[in-house]
Amino acid sequence: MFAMAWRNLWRQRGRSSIMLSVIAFTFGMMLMTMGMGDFMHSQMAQSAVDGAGGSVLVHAEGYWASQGAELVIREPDPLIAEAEQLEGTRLVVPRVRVYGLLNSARGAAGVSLMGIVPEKEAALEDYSRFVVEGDYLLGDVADPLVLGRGVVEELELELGDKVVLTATDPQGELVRALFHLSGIVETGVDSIDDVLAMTSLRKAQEALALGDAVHQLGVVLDDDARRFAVRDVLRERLGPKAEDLGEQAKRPSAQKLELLTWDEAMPEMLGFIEIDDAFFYVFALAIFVVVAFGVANTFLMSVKQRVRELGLLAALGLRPAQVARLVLFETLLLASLSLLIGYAIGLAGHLLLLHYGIDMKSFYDADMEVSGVALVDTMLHSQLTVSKWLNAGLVLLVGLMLSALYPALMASRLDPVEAMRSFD
Amino acid sequence: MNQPRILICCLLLCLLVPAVSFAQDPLPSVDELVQHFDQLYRSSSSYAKMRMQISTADYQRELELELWTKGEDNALAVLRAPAKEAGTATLRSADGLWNYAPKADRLMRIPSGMLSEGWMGSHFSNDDLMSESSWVEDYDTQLERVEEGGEGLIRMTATPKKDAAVVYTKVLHFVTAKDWIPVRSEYYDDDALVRTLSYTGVTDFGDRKLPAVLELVPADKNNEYTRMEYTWLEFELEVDDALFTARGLRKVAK
Amino acid sequence: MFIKLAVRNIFRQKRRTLLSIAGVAAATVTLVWTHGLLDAFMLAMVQGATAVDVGQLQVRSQAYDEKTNIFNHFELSSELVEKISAIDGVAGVSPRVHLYGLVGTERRSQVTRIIGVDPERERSVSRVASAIELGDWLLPRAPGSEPSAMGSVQVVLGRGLAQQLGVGIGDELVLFVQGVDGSLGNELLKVVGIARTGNTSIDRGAVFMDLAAAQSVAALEGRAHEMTLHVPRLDDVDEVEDQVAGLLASSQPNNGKGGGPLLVRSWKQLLPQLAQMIEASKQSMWLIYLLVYVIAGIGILNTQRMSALERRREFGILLAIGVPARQLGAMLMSETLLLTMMGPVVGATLGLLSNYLFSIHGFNMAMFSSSGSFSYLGVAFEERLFFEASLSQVWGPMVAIAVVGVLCGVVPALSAMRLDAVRSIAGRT
Repeated sequence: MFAMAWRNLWRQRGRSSIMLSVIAFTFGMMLMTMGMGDFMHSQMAQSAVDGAGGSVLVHAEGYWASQGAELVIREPDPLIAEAEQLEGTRLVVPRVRVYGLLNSARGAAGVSLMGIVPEKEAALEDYSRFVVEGDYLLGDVADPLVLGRGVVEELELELGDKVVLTATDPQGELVRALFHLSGIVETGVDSIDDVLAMTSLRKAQEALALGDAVHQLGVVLDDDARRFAVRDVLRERLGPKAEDLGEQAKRPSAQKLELLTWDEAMPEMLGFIEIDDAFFYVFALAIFVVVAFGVANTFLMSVKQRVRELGLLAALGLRPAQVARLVLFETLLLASLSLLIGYAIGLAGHLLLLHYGIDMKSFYDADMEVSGVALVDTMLHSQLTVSKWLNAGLVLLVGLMLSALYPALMASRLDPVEAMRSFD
Repeated sequence: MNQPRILICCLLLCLLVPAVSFAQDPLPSVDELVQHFDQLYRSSSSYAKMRMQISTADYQRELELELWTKGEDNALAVLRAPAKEAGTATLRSADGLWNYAPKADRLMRIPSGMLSEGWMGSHFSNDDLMSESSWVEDYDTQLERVEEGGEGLIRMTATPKKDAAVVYTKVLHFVTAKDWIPVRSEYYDDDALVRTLSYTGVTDFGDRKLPAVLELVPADKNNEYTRMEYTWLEFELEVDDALFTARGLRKVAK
Repeated sequence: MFIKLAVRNIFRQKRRTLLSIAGVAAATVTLVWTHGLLDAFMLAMVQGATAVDVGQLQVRSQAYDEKTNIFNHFELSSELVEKISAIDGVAGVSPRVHLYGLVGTERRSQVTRIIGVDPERERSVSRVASAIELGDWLLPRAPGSEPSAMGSVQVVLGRGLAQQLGVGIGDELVLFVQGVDGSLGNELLKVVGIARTGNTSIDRGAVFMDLAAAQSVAALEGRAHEMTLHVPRLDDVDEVEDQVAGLLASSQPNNGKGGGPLLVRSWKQLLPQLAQMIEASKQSMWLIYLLVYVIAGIGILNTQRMSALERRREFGILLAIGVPARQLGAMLMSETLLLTMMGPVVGATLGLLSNYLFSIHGFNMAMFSSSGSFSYLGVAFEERLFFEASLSQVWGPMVAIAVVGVLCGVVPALSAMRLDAVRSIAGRT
């Protein structure tokens, strides 16, 4: 039966090749579209996590709403240790974040200063790739400062120049600290380049008289999707334990913390991603509709032809069930072959996109920025999600088999004589 | 006379200069000079009246102020004219820099982000009023004699120390060689002059001889200046500590 | 002759014809619909972005247009405001003063934007009055009364700012503003409302207060920085812009010290990022369109090939009875042409119909959102997108699909011309 189906396919080379090409091509296209969509989505989600500073953010209670410099995590080390022990935590990134005034002899500018550990930060938004002059924070300058291009222009600075930062320490005292410009960063997004200032965590803590305190811990997870679970576990473990509450004043580590996932911290970022996804779903649906019509059309078009052919088989003595099975086998063969080729096309497209990519810069000339997060990577690549690709193939296969049932049933009920007579 | 900017600040807020000391300078003449300034400016308290003229590309304005200082940290400036702004005050205390809003009858701490704003619309920034670093800690100073317009001057070249939180690369102070009265201060970034503060109108205020007129001219702006003239200045008088609190301030501001 | 034959062929084979048309029509409907969706999205985007802050048109001084600086103001003439309000398509005009100042309590303060507005006029121009989350919008001041007669000036705060300052309704704030005369203006503010407009920059850091109070605190009596116009229909914007420009040219008010002659600026100039984004989106849509066209093309091509295959015997007979191959090809081409014309027309009609339906009922975007609210580039959206059915959404897809269809008809026509009559009648390949 199988051999017969195979031979049948070969005999009807014209029809088979048409079927094959339509299924394979459109399926391949669908896969490529899926690849691009998945890539865009994961890139968006990634830049959201990067921009927020981690999948889960830990602050002193009330910090996020008020951004008050005095709201620090007083003893971050035990918290870091605790969070790092959690399964699925890749690393915990400590940060000092403060608004301050930067002075040069020729000007002053408000900046948003971040004290970071560059090696850890590199796992998230790695600004080192936007450095246009000088070094990132990796040099051995004692008081390095990396500034956005806009700040540098406002202050009329050159590499190595002195700048003085004035800010408020947690006690509310004004503090001043000297820095030397060690690097200039240009993300291309003005709202970032105009306020960005980065120094090492150590230097920031020193300058702001913070001791070991930090403003934020960013928990980076292996799988961002687990962020809610991780947040809850951390909330449980890091929060002041009930029995400690009475002694809270004596135990600085029992300070009240707030834990936020990145989408809780930046709801507009989530909205951005969701809208982007929504559009993609809509378009994917549109493409699917067109594909479905293409395939269904080709199938239906062939039904009549098949009717005659199957009638012949019936006339030759095949039982209706056998005829039906034959048709199904044929379809299965054809579909499998088409899907294989489709996978090959999709994979080829995926690899091409992965390697070359499409530069969307010509499309997105404008600054793309959400919540102070630059969406600067304009290269469109592709991402292969194996389960999705397999599912897509499965869905199509089932669809094709179902659509083959129609001619199969029809054929099995045919009166051979009538069928044979059916010409056009 | 601490850090150069403090010099302005000191004069502005009535010679708040007890921390001055050039004692570590190796040159004996510097020592003497320092001694002199120490004598000249040292005061545990002061009270002054001042007129301030401001000229910028966008506006001209003239203010009248009253000023009190006490100790190192405490200073209070209250606007008396123009009428519209009368009562507006700036308080510097150990607790930071505060502005007083007479209409609201409230004090508000000036956040660090606002420090670069001009104080009362002048070319002195809020930051100029707040600078806390000391000359001795922040600068290496050298002296030399120079002649200018037939007058002998001493030029003090102050170079910030490596770690000092100072933005200028060099500050030059000129004082008369004869009686060591300040003439001019020049602030440099690399080799470019950024702003000049000149002192004129030497007047006897009680037992002290001091320039009554200070004029600050930014180098890169045409015809802009801030000019301050002391019309009254006295030292070592009784000033109540309570003046430098919200309540005390309200009393004099109203 | 072959056209007649083609027409007859098309009607003879109803099922095949229907299938072909349906395929082409489905592709067209899809494209028209996505076009409608995109249009609706862009419209919502522009309306959202212009609803609170910039409006659709603004009148500002030349200097203010170059640099939004407190010193670049102009004399506010109520005559001009009335004249502009009277222009067709203008639903409201709101003169505003924009200041930057320090707002806060004793301990916590922040440098923020202060927008001085006439409460009633602002209501007719921006969404802010209806976006009050807590409390109320500013009350119009009784004529002739002092701005701060009651001891404090009413303000409406953006939600995020209120959070950062830690204040609620009824709380008092102090304001310091450097005025245009260099003076340090101060005022006691009373929070009467907290707004959530959906515009990030407003919600995070803006204070709305009475125009006269804002003018007074910054020494800007009788002056404004811009007038925002509300033009409800975006299509009217260009026309209104021209009229306002004409009005300004003929009645340039005496500007005194300030920002030079008055200009009118549209949202495209005021929000170049948005305008660029929209252009970019339109362009990047071609990537999607290309995919749809290619896939639709493959579908159409195969439908044609399949139908040619099915009719091989028929072609063979035609060739056998002496129809020249070229004529056979021409006949097939005309068939394809007719089919691919009907497809897009049907598709476009259905597409327009669906867009019309969506223009009434709206497209529910909320099904894609977990939070139930949408914001894109700092602009919040309604959950439903309302389409606008317009012919402009139709021409592109129609023409493109027709061209694709015709191109796809060429292949089967050419292969039919090369048929061997005997073999094809016999049904062998």
